[in-house]
Amino acid sequence: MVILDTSLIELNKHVKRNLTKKQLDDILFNLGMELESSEGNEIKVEITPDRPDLLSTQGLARALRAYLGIHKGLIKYKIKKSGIKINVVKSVDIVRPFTVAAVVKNLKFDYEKLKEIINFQEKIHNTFARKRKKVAIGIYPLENIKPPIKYLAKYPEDIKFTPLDFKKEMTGKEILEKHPKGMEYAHLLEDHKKYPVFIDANNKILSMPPIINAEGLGKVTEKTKDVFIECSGHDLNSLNQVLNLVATTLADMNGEIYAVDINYGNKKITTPDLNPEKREIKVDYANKILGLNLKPKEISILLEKMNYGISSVSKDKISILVPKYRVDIWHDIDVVDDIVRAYGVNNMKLSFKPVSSIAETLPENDFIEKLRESIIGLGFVEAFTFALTSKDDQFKKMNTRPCPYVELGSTKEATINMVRNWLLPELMKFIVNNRSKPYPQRIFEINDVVVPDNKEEVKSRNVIKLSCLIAHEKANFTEIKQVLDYLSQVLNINFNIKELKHDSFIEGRCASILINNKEIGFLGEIHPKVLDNFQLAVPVSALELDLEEVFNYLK
Amino acid sequence: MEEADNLGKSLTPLERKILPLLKENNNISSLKNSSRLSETEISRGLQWLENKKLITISRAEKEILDLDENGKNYLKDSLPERRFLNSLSQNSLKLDEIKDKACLNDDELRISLGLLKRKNAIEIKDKVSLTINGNKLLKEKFPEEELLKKLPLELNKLTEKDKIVFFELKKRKKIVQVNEEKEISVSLTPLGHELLKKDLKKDLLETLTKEMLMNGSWKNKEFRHYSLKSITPKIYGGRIHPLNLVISKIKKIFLNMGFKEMKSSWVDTSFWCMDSMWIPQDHPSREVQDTFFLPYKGSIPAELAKKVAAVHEHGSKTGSKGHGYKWNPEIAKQLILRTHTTATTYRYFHQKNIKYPAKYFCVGRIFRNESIDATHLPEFHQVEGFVMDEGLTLRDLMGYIKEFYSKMGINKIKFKPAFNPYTEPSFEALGYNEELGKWIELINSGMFRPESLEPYGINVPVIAWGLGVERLAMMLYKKSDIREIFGSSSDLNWLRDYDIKW
Repeated sequence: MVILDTSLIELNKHVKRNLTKKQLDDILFNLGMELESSEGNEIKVEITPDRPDLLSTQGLARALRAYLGIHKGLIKYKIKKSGIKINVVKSVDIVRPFTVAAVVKNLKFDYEKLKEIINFQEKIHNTFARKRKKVAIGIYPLENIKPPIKYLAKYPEDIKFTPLDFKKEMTGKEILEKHPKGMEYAHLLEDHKKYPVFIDANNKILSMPPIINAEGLGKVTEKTKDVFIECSGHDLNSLNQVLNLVATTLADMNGEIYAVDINYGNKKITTPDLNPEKREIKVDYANKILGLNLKPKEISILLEKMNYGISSVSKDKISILVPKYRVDIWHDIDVVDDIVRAYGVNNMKLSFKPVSSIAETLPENDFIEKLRESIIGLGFVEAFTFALTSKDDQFKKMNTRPCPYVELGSTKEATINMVRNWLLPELMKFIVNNRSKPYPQRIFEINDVVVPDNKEEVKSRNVIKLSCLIAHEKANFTEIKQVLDYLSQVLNINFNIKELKHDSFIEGRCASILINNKEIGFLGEIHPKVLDNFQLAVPVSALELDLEEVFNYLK
Repeated sequence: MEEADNLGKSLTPLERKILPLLKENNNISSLKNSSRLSETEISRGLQWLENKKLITISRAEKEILDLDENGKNYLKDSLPERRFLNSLSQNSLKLDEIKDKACLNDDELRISLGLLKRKNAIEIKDKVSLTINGNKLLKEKFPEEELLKKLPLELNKLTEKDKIVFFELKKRKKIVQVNEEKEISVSLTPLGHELLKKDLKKDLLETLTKEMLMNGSWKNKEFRHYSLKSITPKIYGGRIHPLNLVISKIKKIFLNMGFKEMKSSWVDTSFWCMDSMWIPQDHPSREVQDTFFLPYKGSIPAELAKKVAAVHEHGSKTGSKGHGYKWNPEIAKQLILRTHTTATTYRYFHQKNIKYPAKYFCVGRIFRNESIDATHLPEFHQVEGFVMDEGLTLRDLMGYIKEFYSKMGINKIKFKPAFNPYTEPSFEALGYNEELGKWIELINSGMFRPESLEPYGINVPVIAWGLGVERLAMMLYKKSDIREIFGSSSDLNWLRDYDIKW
């Protein structure tokens, strides 16, 4: 969930309307967003995650102005030449190969605007920029920088500067070890021999992307008027997208955009490029998706409400201009989605096209359903337990050695580290949690467990199992055997029984269940050691059966 | 009148026996004597009669003074001080000699000595000898002895003199004890009196037996009436789990609408969970923080992977820009616990080579790397359905969702545009919960993106929607903690007693 924090007054000032919270919430809902919460004048807006361009008050206001018809269609941004140049040195190729940049002048920063732009930068970093891995944004006061700027990689020991909000000079290595931002993003650089830096013509360091700006050249304040913006990362396309997002937001704060030349040696580019992207939307295509019969003119009006420019409208197609800050337009379908939002989803009449197909259940699920009914008929209550569990519960507490199981990598929940291999331990936990409830307790579960299997493309497979547990003062082998006999009757299978040594059960009171000499389960009286481990003071008898085997046998 | 008649027919043999005795008796001990029933039987009978409002029982608590262990012995063998005194009836004796002759233990000897001195009954010089008063006492009873003989007595009915004796005896070891006794006194109500005027001797039949049926002895006789409203002992039956009840209801809805069922395994590759449906390779949901990774990799279908790589990289022939990166098969091979059931849908696109028209659904468990609390679980259930056919539109998607919702009993719905990496357009469908008086977000839906369908050769619209089962179940059963609905900490009593919602 991505949230924009702003104030209703500030937003209204930019929208040029006096929207109430209710009106704003209704508009946001139609656009797929939400007034998440509000306290007095402060509001939190939940922004749709594909629209980073709405993550600033200016960006949201821009969209609302168009939607409300105050300023429809494409917003044109003028770009002047700054004459500033960045020379990219080949040494950055392995670590962070690309950069793009822009200059925005005549900004009148105040405390609010400064906070807004810092928040916007941080939110882009955490979402679209994938925590600076994909793109890192640097913003600097232009005043102190002496162009041309150089983008190069240096050995961490050779990088020396005072990072933002620090008083002491540090090396690149020290920053990763000691600076809070350095530690947070160290993983993005630490495997490299050299770290990237921007330096100006005075050989002064601007920043070490994607970590931190320098205190000297990289600190934007309320007095800053002109800023230099760079983005660094691994692909030019994403870099340009982010640069466009930042530049247009600053331009909407009444700044003037200036272009920067980037010299890659063999290739020169000039950024930002805010020329809108051209697309042709076929009227028929849009109507077919929507199930509507919109006329070309109607569609073009709707698109203008969403900030698209219209270059021409014909009988069967509309030529549109897509603003450069839109990072979510991959395909015509994405433009159609904007038509829907402008039209209003809830203004659409529902339809129901009959699509002929015959219902079909999975035979194994039908089998499970019938078996479940039979077991419930015996007075067993169905339990529904977790598949994620721990080695401790599945093996140690059950007094058995681990058999092959599917292990999990890192988990947030400390109590889990594997996928269950059998059901019985989970039902034991159920009884433990319900030990104060009236006895006898008869519970069962039919559900999947996962077993490793190298023949499968996912190196494991689900197996459906049945487990039944009986717990009361006199729970014994006979009772659980009766359950098996009952199953044998209702399934019309002759289960064979053979004595089994299983450490979870009392010796001489545990047997394996066989079909055609194949072991498909076991039953018995739970060993007092196991009951002790679970801190359970009531006898338990139990069975576990592989239903996959039973089902295959019946087939 | 009629009430008394009916009651008469419902009296058990026990009640019928006790009721007439209540004219003369009003407490348990006298009832015991005149009825020859045990105390338990009498209490039970009285309880039933009270339930029928034929009698009132007033209960009082009494403190009863009675003999304790030593007291009982002393009553038989005399008090130690009496034995002490008696041993001196002939001549003076030394303490040791008294001890032996009177069979006293050290304690008893010490106490008796003190007591008798206080009574001025003995003199101690070299030997112990009786005083005049002592000689007199040989022929009289001590007040202690008199009291012990009278026990048991009600404590607050003791005379002042006896009270003093009692306090003295209480100081001594286990001679007397005070027991609390509940005493009841019974009196007939007007209804009870009325009933007694009737003939209670009537021969009513109790349990219908096989013999009665064989010999016909039940004919022309009346059965005793039961008190039908009395509380019966609780029993428990087997039940389906409430979550499964919700799942089976949802399944039924899909089946009634002609959908076919699908399933796939819990462990799957990132390929099927993400790449197959055009979720970018750097999408946040692919990170360890959000998804359970297995410490090894699986394999992916090579031919399909090429097509998937093409739509990721440049959009292939879809007209899409693609993600603009080099697709990495190694990322796709990562094994994870599936994050959504859409993985199953795309597996079916590929493996079952589904042709339109088609409607499929699946209910399955999905996993997210979360810690457990009242509203989050690392595993839960998702239901998902899709319809594939030419000419399907967004309005049909909305229509299908409306149909689905109305079959769940929700008729007021609205839609909110949403974002989803593999559907466009996408909506959330909110249902109005009349009971809670608010809109609840239950369903996510959309049309599958062309980039996500192209690798499977699907070029007709596919509309799809899904919802979380636990969320729905929590709403239906009014539970605020998801662990009550799912997992081994659910309350067995609730699972035994929950009411059937649908």
